[in-house]
Amino acid sequence: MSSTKIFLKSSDDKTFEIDETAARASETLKNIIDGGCLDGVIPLPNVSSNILPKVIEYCKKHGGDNGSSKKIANGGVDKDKEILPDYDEEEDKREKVRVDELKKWEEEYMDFDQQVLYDLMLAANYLHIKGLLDLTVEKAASMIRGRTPDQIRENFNINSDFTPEEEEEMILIEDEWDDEWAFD
Amino acid sequence: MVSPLLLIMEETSWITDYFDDIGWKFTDTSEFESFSEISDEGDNVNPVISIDFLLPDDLLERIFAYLPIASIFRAGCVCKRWNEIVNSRRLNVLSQKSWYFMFTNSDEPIGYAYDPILIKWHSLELRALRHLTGLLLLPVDWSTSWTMTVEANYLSVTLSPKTVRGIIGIILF
Repeated sequence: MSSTKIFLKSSDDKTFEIDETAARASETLKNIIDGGCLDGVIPLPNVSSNILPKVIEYCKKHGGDNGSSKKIANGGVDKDKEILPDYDEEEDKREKVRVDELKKWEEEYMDFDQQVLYDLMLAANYLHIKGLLDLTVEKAASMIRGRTPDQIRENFNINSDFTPEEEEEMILIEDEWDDEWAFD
Repeated sequence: MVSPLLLIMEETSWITDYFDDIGWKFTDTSEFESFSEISDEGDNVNPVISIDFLLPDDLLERIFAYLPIASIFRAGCVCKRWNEIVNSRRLNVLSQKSWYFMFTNSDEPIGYAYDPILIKWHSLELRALRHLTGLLLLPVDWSTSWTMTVEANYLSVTLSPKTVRGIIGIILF
Protein backbone atom coordinates (compact mmCIF):
# COMPACT_ATOMS: atom_id res chain seq x y z
CA MET A 1 0.00 0.00 0.00
CA SER A 2 1.45 3.33 -1.01
CA SER A 3 1.27 6.43 1.11
CA THR A 4 -1.87 7.79 -0.48
CA LYS A 5 -3.20 10.66 1.59
CA ILE A 6 -6.76 10.88 2.72
CA PHE A 7 -8.45 13.96 4.09
CA LEU A 8 -10.96 13.82 6.94
CA LYS A 9 -13.20 16.72 7.84
CA SER A 10 -14.33 17.08 11.46
CA SER A 11 -17.81 18.17 12.56
CA ASP A 12 -16.50 21.69 13.05
CA ASP A 13 -15.14 21.86 9.49
CA LYS A 14 -11.45 21.31 10.14
CA THR A 15 -9.55 19.07 7.75
CA PHE A 16 -6.97 16.51 8.81
CA GLU A 17 -4.64 14.39 6.74
CA ILE A 18 -4.09 10.66 7.24
CA ASP A 19 -2.27 7.93 5.30
CA GLU A 20 -4.56 5.47 3.58
CA THR A 21 -2.83 2.57 5.37
CA ALA A 22 -3.57 4.16 8.75
CA ALA A 23 -7.14 5.06 7.76
CA ARG A 24 -7.80 1.38 7.04
CA ALA A 25 -7.68 0.73 10.80
CA SER A 26 -11.22 2.12 10.68
CA GLU A 27 -13.76 -0.23 9.09
CA THR A 28 -15.93 2.73 8.20
CA LEU A 29 -13.12 4.55 6.40
CA LYS A 30 -11.93 1.31 4.81
CA ASN A 31 -15.36 0.79 3.28
CA ILE A 32 -15.45 4.34 1.99
CA ILE A 33 -11.96 3.96 0.48
CA ASP A 34 -12.80 0.60 -1.08
CA GLY A 35 -16.04 2.05 -2.35
CA GLY A 36 -13.97 4.41 -4.44
CA CYS A 37 -15.17 7.66 -2.92
CA LEU A 38 -11.70 9.05 -2.53
CA ASP A 39 -12.18 12.26 -4.45
CA GLY A 40 -11.82 15.07 -2.03
CA VAL A 41 -12.55 14.93 1.66
CA ILE A 42 -14.39 12.43 3.84
CA PRO A 43 -16.74 14.34 6.15
CA LEU A 44 -17.09 12.98 9.69
CA PRO A 45 -20.07 14.87 11.14
CA ASN A 46 -19.89 12.94 14.43
CA VAL A 47 -16.26 13.59 15.26
CA SER A 48 -15.01 16.97 16.47
CA SER A 49 -11.60 18.50 15.82
CA ASN A 50 -10.71 17.92 19.49
CA ILE A 51 -10.99 14.18 19.08
CA LEU A 52 -10.09 13.52 15.45
CA PRO A 53 -6.30 14.01 15.92
CA LYS A 54 -6.45 11.54 18.80
CA VAL A 55 -8.23 9.04 16.57
CA ILE A 56 -5.70 9.59 13.79
CA GLU A 57 -2.87 9.05 16.26
CA TYR A 58 -4.33 5.66 17.14
CA CYS A 59 -4.81 4.71 13.49
CA LYS A 60 -1.24 5.68 12.65
CA LYS A 61 0.05 3.46 15.42
CA HIS A 62 -2.10 0.55 14.41
CA GLY A 63 -2.19 0.91 10.64
CA GLY A 64 -2.98 -2.57 9.43
CA ASP A 65 -3.20 -4.68 12.58
CA ASN A 66 -6.16 -2.99 14.25
CA GLY A 67 -5.75 -4.73 17.57
CA SER A 68 -4.97 -3.88 21.16
CA SER A 69 -1.83 -5.06 22.91
CA LYS A 70 -3.84 -7.81 24.54
CA LYS A 71 -5.08 -9.18 21.22
CA ILE A 72 -1.63 -9.21 19.74
CA ALA A 73 -0.28 -10.85 22.87
CA ASN A 74 -2.91 -13.59 22.69
CA GLY A 75 -3.00 -14.10 18.98
CA GLY A 76 0.64 -13.52 18.23
CA VAL A 77 2.47 -15.23 21.05
CA ASP A 78 0.45 -17.81 22.95
CA LYS A 79 -1.38 -19.42 20.08
CA ASP A 80 1.73 -19.71 17.95
CA LYS A 81 3.43 -21.45 20.79
CA GLU A 82 0.83 -24.18 20.70
CA ILE A 83 0.47 -24.49 16.98
CA LEU A 84 4.01 -24.27 15.68
CA PRO A 85 6.18 -27.30 16.42
CA ASP A 86 9.48 -25.55 15.69
CA TYR A 87 8.84 -22.65 17.95
CA ASP A 88 11.24 -19.74 17.52
CA GLU A 89 12.38 -18.42 20.87
CA GLU A 90 14.03 -15.35 19.38
CA GLU A 91 10.86 -14.47 17.53
CA ASP A 92 8.94 -14.90 20.78
CA LYS A 93 11.25 -12.45 22.53
CA ARG A 94 10.89 -9.89 19.77
CA GLU A 95 7.15 -10.28 19.90
CA LYS A 96 7.14 -9.74 23.67
CA VAL A 97 9.21 -6.58 23.30
CA ARG A 98 6.75 -5.36 20.68
CA VAL A 99 3.76 -6.09 22.92
CA ASP A 100 5.40 -4.42 25.91
CA GLU A 101 6.20 -1.38 23.81
CA LEU A 102 2.61 -1.23 22.57
CA LYS A 103 1.23 -1.56 26.09
CA LYS A 104 3.40 1.33 27.21
CA TRP A 105 2.20 3.38 24.26
CA GLU A 106 -1.42 2.56 25.04
CA GLU A 107 -0.93 3.57 28.66
CA GLU A 108 0.36 6.99 27.65
CA TYR A 109 -2.19 7.34 24.89
CA MET A 110 -5.06 6.58 27.27
CA ASP A 111 -4.07 9.21 29.81
CA PHE A 112 -6.93 11.71 29.53
CA ASP A 113 -10.06 12.85 31.36
CA GLN A 114 -13.55 11.36 31.29
CA GLN A 115 -14.90 13.71 28.63
CA VAL A 116 -12.20 12.68 26.16
CA LEU A 117 -12.80 9.03 27.06
CA TYR A 118 -16.50 9.24 26.10
CA ASP A 119 -15.83 11.23 22.94
CA LEU A 120 -13.12 8.83 21.86
CA MET A 121 -15.35 5.84 22.59
CA LEU A 122 -18.15 7.35 20.53
CA ALA A 123 -15.74 8.13 17.68
CA ALA A 124 -14.26 4.61 17.77
CA ASN A 125 -17.77 3.20 17.70
CA TYR A 126 -18.82 5.42 14.81
CA LEU A 127 -15.67 4.74 12.80
CA HIS A 128 -15.61 1.03 13.72
CA ILE A 129 -12.11 0.97 15.11
CA LYS A 130 -12.35 -2.22 17.14
CA GLY A 131 -9.03 -1.93 18.98
CA LEU A 132 -9.70 1.64 20.10
CA LEU A 133 -13.25 0.80 21.11
CA ASP A 134 -11.98 -2.11 23.23
CA LEU A 135 -9.39 0.13 24.88
CA THR A 136 -11.85 2.88 25.79
CA VAL A 137 -14.57 0.47 26.91
CA GLU A 138 -12.11 -1.41 29.08
CA LYS A 139 -10.95 1.83 30.66
CA ALA A 140 -14.53 2.82 31.49
CA ALA A 141 -15.13 -0.66 32.93
CA SER A 142 -12.07 -0.28 35.15
CA MET A 143 -13.72 2.82 36.61
CA ILE A 144 -16.76 0.75 37.64
CA ARG A 145 -15.06 -2.48 38.69
CA GLY A 146 -14.92 -3.10 42.43
CA ARG A 147 -16.86 0.07 43.28
CA THR A 148 -20.07 0.43 45.26
CA PRO A 149 -23.12 1.98 43.53
CA ASP A 150 -22.57 5.15 45.58
CA GLN A 151 -18.97 5.41 44.44
CA ILE A 152 -20.02 4.79 40.84
CA ARG A 153 -22.68 7.51 41.01
CA GLU A 154 -20.15 9.93 42.41
CA ASN A 155 -17.50 8.94 39.86
CA PHE A 156 -19.78 9.30 36.88
CA ASN A 157 -22.05 12.01 38.16
CA ILE A 158 -25.24 9.97 38.06
CA ASN A 159 -28.28 10.53 40.26
CA SER A 160 -30.20 7.58 41.60
CA ASP A 161 -33.76 7.69 40.27
CA PHE A 162 -35.12 4.67 42.15
CA THR A 163 -38.24 4.94 44.25
CA PRO A 164 -37.66 4.45 48.02
CA GLU A 165 -39.00 0.88 47.70
CA GLU A 166 -36.69 0.10 44.80
CA GLU A 167 -33.83 1.70 46.67
CA GLU A 168 -34.36 -0.73 49.54
CA GLU A 169 -34.27 -3.63 47.13
CA MET A 170 -31.08 -2.29 45.56
CA ILE A 171 -29.42 -2.12 48.97
CA LEU A 172 -30.24 -5.80 49.49
CA ILE A 173 -28.74 -6.69 46.12
CA GLU A 174 -25.71 -4.56 46.82
CA ASP A 175 -25.14 -6.37 50.12
CA GLU A 176 -25.54 -9.69 48.36
CA TRP A 177 -22.82 -8.82 45.89
CA ASP A 178 -20.23 -7.24 48.11
CA ASP A 179 -16.59 -7.93 47.53
CA GLU A 180 -16.15 -10.76 49.98
CA TRP A 181 -15.02 -13.75 48.08
CA ALA A 182 -15.48 -17.25 49.34
CA PHE A 183 -12.24 -18.51 47.89
CA ASP A 184 -9.32 -17.09 46.04
CA MET B 1 -23.45 -34.61 53.89
CA VAL B 2 -23.52 -32.13 51.11
CA SER B 3 -25.67 -32.46 48.05
CA PRO B 4 -24.70 -29.83 45.57
CA LEU B 5 -27.07 -28.18 43.22
CA LEU B 6 -25.15 -26.95 40.28
CA LEU B 7 -26.64 -24.66 37.72
CA ILE B 8 -24.67 -24.21 34.55
CA MET B 9 -25.63 -21.39 32.30
CA GLU B 10 -24.46 -21.99 28.77
CA GLU B 11 -24.65 -18.33 28.06
CA THR B 12 -23.76 -15.73 30.58
CA SER B 13 -26.94 -14.60 32.18
CA TRP B 14 -27.91 -11.82 34.45
CA ILE B 15 -30.23 -12.26 37.37
CA THR B 16 -33.08 -9.89 36.89
CA ASP B 17 -35.50 -10.78 39.60
CA TYR B 18 -34.16 -11.14 43.01
CA PHE B 19 -34.34 -13.67 45.74
CA ASP B 20 -37.51 -13.71 47.75
CA ASP B 21 -38.99 -15.84 50.49
CA ILE B 22 -40.15 -18.71 48.36
CA GLY B 23 -37.21 -19.19 46.08
CA TRP B 24 -35.49 -17.38 43.36
CA LYS B 25 -36.14 -16.72 39.80
CA PHE B 26 -34.73 -15.37 36.59
CA THR B 27 -36.99 -13.33 34.40
CA ASP B 28 -36.69 -11.07 31.47
CA THR B 29 -37.24 -7.41 31.67
CA SER B 30 -38.80 -5.46 28.92
CA GLU B 31 -36.74 -3.41 26.55
CA PHE B 32 -35.52 -0.24 28.03
CA GLU B 33 -36.51 3.18 26.91
CA SER B 34 -34.74 4.83 24.05
CA PHE B 35 -31.90 7.23 24.38
CA SER B 36 -34.01 10.09 23.10
CA GLU B 37 -36.41 9.72 25.99
CA ILE B 38 -33.53 9.93 28.38
CA SER B 39 -32.22 12.99 26.59
CA ASP B 40 -35.48 14.73 27.41
CA GLU B 41 -34.36 14.77 31.00
CA GLY B 42 -31.32 16.77 30.00
CA ASP B 43 -32.41 19.81 31.96
CA ASN B 44 -32.19 17.91 35.21
CA VAL B 45 -28.74 16.56 34.54
CA ASN B 46 -25.91 18.17 36.35
CA PRO B 47 -23.85 20.27 33.91
CA VAL B 48 -20.75 18.25 34.77
CA ILE B 49 -20.22 15.49 32.19
CA SER B 50 -22.03 12.29 32.95
CA ILE B 51 -21.26 8.95 31.39
CA ASP B 52 -24.92 8.11 31.71
CA PHE B 53 -26.00 11.08 29.67
CA LEU B 54 -23.41 10.82 26.93
CA LEU B 55 -23.23 7.16 26.11
CA PRO B 56 -25.90 5.23 24.24
CA ASP B 57 -27.15 1.91 25.57
CA ASP B 58 -25.02 -0.23 23.31
CA LEU B 59 -21.80 1.32 24.60
CA LEU B 60 -22.88 0.99 28.22
CA GLU B 61 -23.64 -2.66 27.48
CA ARG B 62 -20.16 -3.10 26.08
CA ILE B 63 -18.70 -1.58 29.23
CA PHE B 64 -20.77 -3.82 31.51
CA ALA B 65 -19.73 -6.87 29.51
CA TYR B 66 -16.16 -6.24 30.70
CA LEU B 67 -17.15 -6.45 34.37
CA PRO B 68 -17.02 -9.39 36.75
CA ILE B 69 -20.45 -10.50 37.95
CA ALA B 70 -20.37 -8.81 41.36
CA SER B 71 -19.59 -5.50 39.68
CA ILE B 72 -22.33 -6.01 37.12
CA PHE B 73 -24.95 -6.53 39.81
CA ARG B 74 -23.73 -3.50 41.73
CA ALA B 75 -23.74 -1.43 38.53
CA GLY B 76 -27.39 -2.43 38.21
CA CYS B 77 -28.05 -0.66 41.53
CA VAL B 78 -26.80 2.70 40.26
CA CYS B 79 -29.91 3.97 38.49
CA LYS B 80 -32.95 2.76 36.59
CA ARG B 81 -31.35 2.92 33.17
CA TRP B 82 -28.28 0.95 34.25
CA ASN B 83 -30.55 -1.55 35.97
CA GLU B 84 -32.44 -2.11 32.76
CA ILE B 85 -29.26 -2.48 30.72
CA VAL B 86 -27.75 -4.92 33.19
CA ASN B 87 -30.92 -6.95 32.94
CA SER B 88 -31.23 -6.72 29.19
CA ARG B 89 -30.85 -9.85 27.14
CA ARG B 90 -28.45 -8.13 24.81
CA LEU B 91 -25.66 -8.16 27.39
CA ASN B 92 -25.57 -11.88 26.79
CA VAL B 93 -24.40 -11.44 23.24
CA LEU B 94 -21.33 -9.52 24.29
CA SER B 95 -20.13 -11.58 27.19
CA GLN B 96 -18.07 -14.61 26.48
CA LYS B 97 -17.91 -16.78 29.55
CA SER B 98 -20.36 -18.95 31.43
CA TRP B 99 -21.06 -18.56 35.09
CA TYR B 100 -21.48 -21.33 37.57
CA PHE B 101 -23.69 -21.32 40.60
CA MET B 102 -23.42 -23.91 43.30
CA PHE B 103 -25.67 -24.42 46.27
CA THR B 104 -25.02 -26.87 49.04
CA ASN B 105 -27.49 -28.87 51.05
CA SER B 106 -27.27 -27.15 54.35
CA ASP B 107 -29.43 -25.31 56.81
CA GLU B 108 -27.43 -22.23 56.00
CA PRO B 109 -28.91 -20.53 52.97
CA ILE B 110 -25.57 -20.02 51.32
CA GLY B 111 -24.55 -20.50 47.75
CA TYR B 112 -21.51 -19.87 45.64
CA ALA B 113 -21.12 -18.27 42.27
CA TYR B 114 -18.04 -18.85 40.17
CA ASP B 115 -16.78 -15.90 38.25
CA PRO B 116 -14.76 -17.10 35.24
CA ILE B 117 -13.38 -13.64 34.53
CA LEU B 118 -11.74 -13.20 37.91
CA ILE B 119 -11.37 -16.97 38.40
CA LYS B 120 -12.86 -16.66 41.86
CA TRP B 121 -15.73 -18.03 43.85
CA HIS B 122 -18.17 -15.59 45.29
CA SER B 123 -20.25 -16.46 48.29
CA LEU B 124 -23.94 -15.69 48.14
CA GLU B 125 -26.35 -15.62 50.97
CA LEU B 126 -29.59 -16.77 49.54
CA ARG B 127 -32.26 -16.26 52.09
CA ALA B 128 -34.62 -18.49 50.22
CA LEU B 129 -32.53 -21.53 49.44
CA ARG B 130 -32.78 -24.19 52.09
CA HIS B 131 -32.93 -27.95 52.27
CA LEU B 132 -31.76 -28.51 48.75
CA THR B 133 -31.30 -32.04 47.56
CA GLY B 134 -30.21 -32.59 44.04
CA LEU B 135 -28.12 -31.80 41.08
CA LEU B 136 -29.49 -29.73 38.30
CA LEU B 137 -27.68 -28.96 35.06
CA LEU B 138 -29.32 -26.53 32.73
CA PRO B 139 -28.06 -24.76 29.67
CA VAL B 140 -30.16 -21.66 29.82
CA ASP B 141 -30.70 -19.24 27.02
CA TRP B 142 -30.63 -15.69 28.21
CA SER B 143 -33.96 -15.06 26.60
CA THR B 144 -35.25 -17.54 29.13
CA SER B 145 -37.89 -16.85 31.62
CA TRP B 146 -37.89 -19.46 34.29
CA THR B 147 -38.45 -19.80 37.98
CA MET B 148 -37.26 -22.22 40.56
CA THR B 149 -38.82 -22.58 43.93
CA VAL B 150 -37.37 -24.54 46.75
CA GLU B 151 -39.11 -25.71 49.86
CA ALA B 152 -38.18 -28.27 52.48
CA ASN B 153 -37.12 -31.43 50.62
CA TYR B 154 -38.97 -30.26 47.60
CA LEU B 155 -37.57 -28.74 44.48
CA SER B 156 -39.76 -27.31 41.82
CA VAL B 157 -38.50 -25.88 38.58
CA THR B 158 -40.83 -24.07 36.27
CA LEU B 159 -39.51 -23.63 32.77
CA SER B 160 -41.00 -21.67 29.98
CA PRO B 161 -40.75 -24.00 26.94
CA LYS B 162 -39.81 -21.44 24.35
CA THR B 163 -37.00 -20.08 26.39
CA VAL B 164 -35.00 -23.07 27.51
CA ARG B 165 -32.91 -24.66 24.79
CA GLY B 166 -32.50 -27.98 26.47
CA ILE B 167 -31.90 -29.59 29.78
CA ILE B 168 -28.69 -31.58 30.12
CA GLY B 169 -30.02 -33.45 33.07
CA ILE B 170 -31.59 -33.31 36.45
CA ILE B 171 -30.36 -35.73 39.05
CA LEU B 172 -32.25 -35.78 42.31
CA PHE B 173 -31.13 -37.83 45.25
